[in-house]
Amino acid sequence: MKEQQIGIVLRYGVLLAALILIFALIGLSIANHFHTIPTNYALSLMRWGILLLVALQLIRVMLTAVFFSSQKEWFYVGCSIFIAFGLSYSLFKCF
Amino acid sequence: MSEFDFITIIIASGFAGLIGALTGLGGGIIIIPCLTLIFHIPIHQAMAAGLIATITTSSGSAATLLEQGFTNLKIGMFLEVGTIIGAFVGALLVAITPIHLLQTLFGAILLSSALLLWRQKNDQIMQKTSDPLAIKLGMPAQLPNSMGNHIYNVCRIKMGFLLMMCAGLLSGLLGIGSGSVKVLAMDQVMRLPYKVATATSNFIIGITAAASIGIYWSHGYVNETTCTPVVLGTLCGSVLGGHFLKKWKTQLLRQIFMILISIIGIQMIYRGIGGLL
Repeated sequence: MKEQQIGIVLRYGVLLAALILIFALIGLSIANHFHTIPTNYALSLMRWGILLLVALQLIRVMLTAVFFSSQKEWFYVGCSIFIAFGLSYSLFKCF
Repeated sequence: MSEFDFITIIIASGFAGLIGALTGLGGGIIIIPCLTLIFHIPIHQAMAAGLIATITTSSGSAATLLEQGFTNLKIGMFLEVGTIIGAFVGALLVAITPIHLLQTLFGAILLSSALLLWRQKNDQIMQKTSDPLAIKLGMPAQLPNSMGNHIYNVCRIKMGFLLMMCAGLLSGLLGIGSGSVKVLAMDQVMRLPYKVATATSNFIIGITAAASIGIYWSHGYVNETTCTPVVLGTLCGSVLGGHFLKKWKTQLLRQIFMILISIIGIQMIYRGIGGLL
């Protein structure tokens, strides 16, 4: 695995989140003007888009761990796993 | 929120993302005052939007900065461990810490750091040797520049790690992003090239912000209609910022950083003194 691949996953992840948000905005606009779909659906879609951005950080740390394990840099694999646990604990405790 | 407000937030967030990616500070420093003062959004919702902006800036610019070779993943992950430990200790100490005194002190430290940067006219003199521990951990790496790739050294990593714990502690206690401390520690203490410091800070601030957002989310402060234009604007700005980092001169970036940490310092002192009086 290459360092750049972490960046590529991040790029596509962020683009997907942005697309979800744009799609939700279109939905919200339709909901407000034509009342064809409930506003709640569009807001819920926005929430999922934002949640994807947050989850992407955990994915980023896990990918970094995979990257370091492919390089056999075990100290940094340990660091990444520690961060992943800390982040997961913080997120799951609150949600 | 009207269409005009929505577009204005996108433009302001775009600017915040650009500056955040160039300086390694995230985007909260511009977004939060903008949302509270211009759009009268409650402070906690604005702070949550600021954290979302930081996550977006970090993710949006990371791809470009990793490709360009500015981000040092090893240093980033090593220092983030310190931040996570500090943040947990901060969360434990929050009930017994004199927060306003800490805010005033932190503000004063940031202002004195800005003064130090202002007096430092030229770019850092490259260090001749790395910290032995940094060499053992394989941290020194190549810096791409117009003169061809050269290896930079990494100094005082133990001090850097301790400063990251302080950054995490401040994040846990004050609910702020710690990009300013991260960049200062890597630039002034570990003597990393400025662009490496900002790129590495950019990579890890998203992780720190994600660790903090849960509390805001569980309290219902993440407002979808506020965060959506912030994400869209910040994403565009941060992608541009990632591309500009290679082209812009270090001295200019340092000056922008100096102005921004002065603003954060003044904000912190204002909040701290306001709470003490």
